[in-house]
Amino acid sequence: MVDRRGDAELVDRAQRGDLDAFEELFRRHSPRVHTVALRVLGNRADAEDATLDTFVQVWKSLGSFRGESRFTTWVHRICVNRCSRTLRQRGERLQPLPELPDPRPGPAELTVLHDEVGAVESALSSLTDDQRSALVLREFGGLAYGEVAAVLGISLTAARSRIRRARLELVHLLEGRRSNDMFTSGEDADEA
Amino acid sequence: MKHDLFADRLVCGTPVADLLAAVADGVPPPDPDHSATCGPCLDALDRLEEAWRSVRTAAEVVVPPPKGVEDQVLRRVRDLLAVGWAPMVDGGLGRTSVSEVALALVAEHEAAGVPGVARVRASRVRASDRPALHVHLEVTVRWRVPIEAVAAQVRRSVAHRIRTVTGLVTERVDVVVSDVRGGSPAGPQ
Repeated sequence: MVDRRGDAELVDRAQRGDLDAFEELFRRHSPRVHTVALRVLGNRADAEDATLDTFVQVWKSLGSFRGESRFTTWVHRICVNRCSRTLRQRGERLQPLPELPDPRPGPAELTVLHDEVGAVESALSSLTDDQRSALVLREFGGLAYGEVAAVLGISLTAARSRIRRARLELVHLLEGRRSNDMFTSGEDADEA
Repeated sequence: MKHDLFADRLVCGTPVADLLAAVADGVPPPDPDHSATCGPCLDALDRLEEAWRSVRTAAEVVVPPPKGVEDQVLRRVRDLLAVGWAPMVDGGLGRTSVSEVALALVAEHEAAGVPGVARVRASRVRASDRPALHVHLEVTVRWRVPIEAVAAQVRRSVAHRIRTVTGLVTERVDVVVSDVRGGSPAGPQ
């Protein structure tokens, strides 16, 4: 977790026009923000645009940030609003990501990881936009329930309920996929 | 026996979503004493844990934005910084404004041409007492060059070039040597 006191000092400096402080804030928060954008939007190009616009907007709005929430919560709110705009404009269901973002492990591990991450990405893309945003903020953004509620502008109860439904839906999709895989591999074994 | 995770509740009456929330949040189930001895709950918890492991794995994959995004963000922020502040040169028939971005690029370009400089970035160009400028450069130098001599040459060249190109006076050029490229004390190249 990013050091809140360090953030506050950097925000204070950035609010006074210190570009170095803003750069440091970008370096601290952009990996998580970009990951959230990628999982919500489902493709790299849109996620990069969203990350870019999010941080430019952060700079423009720094003067209005009073530190009443964590800086990361505030940035995620800007990010999710930006992603929502893209989703509205797109007006269509998401497609699963065709590739792994950062293939550091070896080939064998990578295949397993690719399968696991690919299955989750595919399942995420089948959720409603509202469910996906809530779930991604909680599981991929690492935000607390209250922070998810603040980012989405909904009550804590509504946030909990949305995450609860999204988790169930996600598990059903993953379970369904696993059953299909078992069925398919069984058929393969029969054919062999 | 496998129990239906697609039903709202298990046969024992426990909501599947409650068990899933416990798994996902890493906390005990709502009724831990019951779940510890209930077959359907234990089976469901095992399968939910298995399914949720994939989500945890996916969540651990943090994807930083490409370097190009950072560059674009900073460029746009510099553009915004330049709005409302642009040093001006009175040209007789009118005034010429030079944005901070343009000045930064001039400074970067000139400093990059100084022998011994491997990489340079102008992190700030500001007017302290218009139209005198403060330029702040972050420089990577090559291995074994005399750093102070390189920094002095960077100051002279940048101030001269900004004066020549824009007509503006540079009052101060701060140079931060942030890295050395091309070797190390253990094994210079």
